[in-house]
Amino acid sequence: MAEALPTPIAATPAALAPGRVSRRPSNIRRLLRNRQASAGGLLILLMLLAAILAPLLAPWDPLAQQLSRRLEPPGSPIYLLGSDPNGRDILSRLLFGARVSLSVGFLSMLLAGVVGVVLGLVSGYFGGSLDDLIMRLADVQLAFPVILLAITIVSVVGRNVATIVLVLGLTGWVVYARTVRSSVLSLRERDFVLAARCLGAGHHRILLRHILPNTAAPILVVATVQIATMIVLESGLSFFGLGIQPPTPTWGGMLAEGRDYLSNAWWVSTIPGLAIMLTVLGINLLGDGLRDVLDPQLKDY
Amino acid sequence: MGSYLARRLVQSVFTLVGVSLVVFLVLRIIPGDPARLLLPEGASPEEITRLRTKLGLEQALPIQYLIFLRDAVRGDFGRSYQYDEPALGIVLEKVPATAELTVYALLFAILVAVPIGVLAATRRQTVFDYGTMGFAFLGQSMPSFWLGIMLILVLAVGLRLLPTSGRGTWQHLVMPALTLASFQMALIARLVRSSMLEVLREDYVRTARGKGLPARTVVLRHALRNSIIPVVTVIGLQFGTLLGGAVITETVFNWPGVGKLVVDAIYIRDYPIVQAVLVVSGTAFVLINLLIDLSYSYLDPRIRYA
Repeated sequence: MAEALPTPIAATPAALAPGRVSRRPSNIRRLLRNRQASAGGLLILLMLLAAILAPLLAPWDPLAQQLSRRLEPPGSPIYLLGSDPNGRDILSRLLFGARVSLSVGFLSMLLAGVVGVVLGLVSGYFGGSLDDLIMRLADVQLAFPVILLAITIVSVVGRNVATIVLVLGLTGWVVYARTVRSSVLSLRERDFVLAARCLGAGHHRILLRHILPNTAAPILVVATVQIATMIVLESGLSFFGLGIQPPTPTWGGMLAEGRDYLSNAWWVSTIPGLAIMLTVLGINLLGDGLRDVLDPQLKDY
Repeated sequence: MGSYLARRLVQSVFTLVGVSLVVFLVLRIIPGDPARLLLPEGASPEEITRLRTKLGLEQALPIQYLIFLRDAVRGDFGRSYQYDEPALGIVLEKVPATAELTVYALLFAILVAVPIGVLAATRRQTVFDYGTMGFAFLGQSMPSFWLGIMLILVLAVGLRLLPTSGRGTWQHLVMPALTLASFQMALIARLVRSSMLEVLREDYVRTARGKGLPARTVVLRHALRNSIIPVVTVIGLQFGTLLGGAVITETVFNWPGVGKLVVDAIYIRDYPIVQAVLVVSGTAFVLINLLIDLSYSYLDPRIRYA
């Protein structure tokens, strides 16, 4: 417990200058030593590699239909993971689908993060009626089931990648804003913020140079878990037929296509679902490990 | 208590106004004519003009919003053109089916997850703890529509134990409730465990043990009761997720509730229904969270609202 209470000197940025003697292993080391986090990280690394190397790894063109070879079960000599109702190779579609799922997940997370962090910083730092307004906005946002709002907006505006990222991003800001706000509330009373203010630093500088870096840990944890949420939401949109336009392969879309073939071709839905689950599992494991290492006080949502 | 209640009520009203504003804006962000959107595709020019006048579309946006708000308070969200009846009535008709599904799912989740969380906390770092928590992790990582499809695949198509879709007997309820419950179950189990671990370190728990109370009493009367508050909070906040889950689950299992209704309405652009569902679900969310906030002082007498 004692090491968790830094001396006042250690808390000032000056004491963190290079050359200090570090007694605790670095965060990266501790993360690597955390079995959960490394397992999760490894899973994500594999998924990322699959997405990046998709053109090299995919045995077939993900869009090429061979109608004479529809619904071949996995393990066939031609299609390792079988083929779908249109006679396309599931493995190749899975690899290319990883690109869509991961990048939509990442971009939406980023957008939600920027909006949420800015609102959380402003809300926590300035307080008052601005804070009230932002927190009420958060309540309003939470009152809508995200998936319902997303399918409504996408159905009205139209389904393209930009809309989908925008909708998912704008519905995800609340978790960031609340997390950042609560850390800012305690940070703004700390001595180093007071010191910066005494030295004549403006709000801008205090927020960006002194407060924001100190909220990095919780933001990172939330961001990690949010990628998983966004991936599931995107696949949900595809499941409702409102995701990215076919024939572009997406995991959710592939899964939805298989629904009508459950009784004779179990693999069409099962395999993309497994891919989603493994990715989300990897991200959640990494996020949990990150939280243990960086910010043990942060609770589950 | 009185002033806290008043403040929470005012907050809730603000949130509801915000909810209505969002619903209003969603149908007006698209370029084009909301009247056209709110009417069936082959509507006559006269019908469009009539609705345009009713919605006040020639007026400024704030005025239009006030008109929308007035109609919403009266429960008037327009007529569903698919059923040719007032939209709100159709939505409310479907509420019991959704309520049945969500209540059973939540009950099921709580009844399974709380004991698991307690046992995992008291048997920390045993096989039981690792096993159940690993399983919970998997449960949280599964998209619920996929779990639903897998259940259909195994229990309905494979083993032929349960009907694939519809509502009626308890057999119809099993898979949808399980699908909807899975995420909450995992979340609650993990939350109860971590909350229990925290409370079990408290002084009063040590005192209770020191007095020689049986372990059972200490865990259930002293620890569980005090670790349940964060769980109740999260259940309230998760209510929105639960409604979203109902939208997905009802679609997978053809469950005739609000979720199925709104998804079908979105597909055929029956926007009066969509508006009504968004407002009704938003209102339900706000009211439930208000009730939960007010229940804290019952759960923990130390909480007194000044």
